[in-house]
Amino acid sequence: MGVSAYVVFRFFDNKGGLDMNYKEIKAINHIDEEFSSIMKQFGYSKVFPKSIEAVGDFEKFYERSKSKTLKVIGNNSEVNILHDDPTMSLFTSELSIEKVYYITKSFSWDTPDYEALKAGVEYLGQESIYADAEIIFSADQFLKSIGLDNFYIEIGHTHFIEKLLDLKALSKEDRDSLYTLIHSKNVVQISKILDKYNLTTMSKEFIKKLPKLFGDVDEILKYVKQMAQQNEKLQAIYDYLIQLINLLKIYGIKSKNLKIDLSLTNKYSYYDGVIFKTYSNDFGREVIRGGRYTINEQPFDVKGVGFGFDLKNLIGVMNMKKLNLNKNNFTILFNENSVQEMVEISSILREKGYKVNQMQGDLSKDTIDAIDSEYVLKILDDKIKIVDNLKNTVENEFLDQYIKGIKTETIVESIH
Amino acid sequence: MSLKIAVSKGRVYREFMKLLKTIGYEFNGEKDRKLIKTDTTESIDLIVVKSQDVPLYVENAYADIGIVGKDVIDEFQDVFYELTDLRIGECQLCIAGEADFTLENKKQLTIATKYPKQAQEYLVEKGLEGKVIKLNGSVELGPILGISDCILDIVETGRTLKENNLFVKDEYKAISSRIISNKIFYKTKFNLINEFIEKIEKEIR
Repeated sequence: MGVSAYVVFRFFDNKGGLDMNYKEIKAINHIDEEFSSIMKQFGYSKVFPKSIEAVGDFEKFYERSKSKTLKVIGNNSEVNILHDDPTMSLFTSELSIEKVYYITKSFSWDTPDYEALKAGVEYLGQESIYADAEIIFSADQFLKSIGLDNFYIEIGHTHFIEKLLDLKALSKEDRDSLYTLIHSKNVVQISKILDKYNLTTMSKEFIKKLPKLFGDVDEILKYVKQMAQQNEKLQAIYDYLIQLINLLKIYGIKSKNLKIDLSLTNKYSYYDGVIFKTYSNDFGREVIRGGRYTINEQPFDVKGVGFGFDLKNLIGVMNMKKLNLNKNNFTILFNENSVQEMVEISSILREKGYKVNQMQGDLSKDTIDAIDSEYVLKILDDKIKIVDNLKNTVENEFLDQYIKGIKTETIVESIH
Repeated sequence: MSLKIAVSKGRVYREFMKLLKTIGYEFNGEKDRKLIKTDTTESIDLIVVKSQDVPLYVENAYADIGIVGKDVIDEFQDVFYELTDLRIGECQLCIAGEADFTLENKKQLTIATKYPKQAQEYLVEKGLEGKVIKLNGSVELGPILGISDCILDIVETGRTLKENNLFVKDEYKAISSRIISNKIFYKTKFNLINEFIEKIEKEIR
């Protein structure tokens, strides 16, 4: 291949350099560590998706899959493609393992510098409700691991609307319009289209109700059961949802954190089956999105279930909720006369598992804020100044007493 | 909790204000230049912005809902819900050109526009090859300076076209202002948003 993704990304980057500040880099490191740790606990292996590949036979598929791409002409006039969904390159790879995760930069039309940092998980090959439940549960565990505990998992099923709109009376054009209008929750326009047809009142009411068919699991499922009694095509989806919700409850996910939205469609994605997203009350963007897919058209023959997220978006939620973005536990400020004490203190703390950042000099308050440590220690001859950023307090202690204290952990126990 | 509404400046803002008054909302200093206006019961905050920015405020959760024309909405894809048609700010999205310009027998077309996505869709729908040139304003200059064969733009009274010797050649789509909603807030603030929309719909239907 005559052109690298890196060159292409830089070509678009009119600012140059790394578009991240210190706090963002620390936060990304934190997410990376937690995400990798959780996914490894679930038996997943890290893979490295390609960001660029030859168009070849894939062009039509990319168009159909709604993936936003950029074509790039290489040195030898070959046409390559940059895509915004790292999962795509996993589909084109011959992976010999089923459970994979990734954290990678990918091309994006939606960011000012045309790149995004994305992460995701794929459980390939398995077509089972147990795989679906495992993926949703792993997403739940990951969000909890980074300190998010008050969020909703919203579940839908792409076949629900397909089955409901599978009515001979509807023209193809109107069926497509209804699909779009349900997706965008435009109740008024839906009614206008339905009014043209002589459908049963029950069918019309079910379709009109769809855009608002979201919320509490028990309430929605009760209504779906009623719908399934009138329309047998919906029965299998109802049975699936009941079983999935029960499995998630067995995993320990509380009912109050589960929601259902049956107007979720695959209009702008390749999902085919269960579809889910997570969000919290006060952050107006979804945090994680995932679902099941079956892609059975040349050159692909792949099925699986997975989820993905944008790291910068996740940092936005963490910042808003003031969650720990991988602070150094300690930063020790030292000078040439206090090297020995700095080494002694940092060694004791590191041995006890704390992260310790050591910095030379007398730093300004702004710099200390930017370092973003829970504790800042400044060695002053035989004394030590302890800035506790959790309690917003400053204390002075004798150095030997402090060292004795951290050896027995009486000083640092409060942070864990 | 107040409802945050991003609304397009100008005609849409004026017509929406009238609508709000008819359903009982009152604002002090309605004509002042404050960019955030709160009603007298503090249940609504209006954020007055350029029409192209309304979707961004809504998508990025700075506003719960937005009031914006279909012309702007259709430049975005799947980033908010389009809930209802307010039937205000009505106009047409049209192809316009100089007097001797015709679409008949055209195979290739260069369109100057503020709406590149819809211009591209127009070319595809008409089966035409062509090029879209994105301009941020004064698109009428396209045909006059020879930048493009024609323009795709909204036409309200037709006065701007007339003053620049341009004529409507094809009415592509009817435009009106819609209520759009942030996808998450529509769920987490459903009662607040739904109650407001129901009040409005009762008035306009």
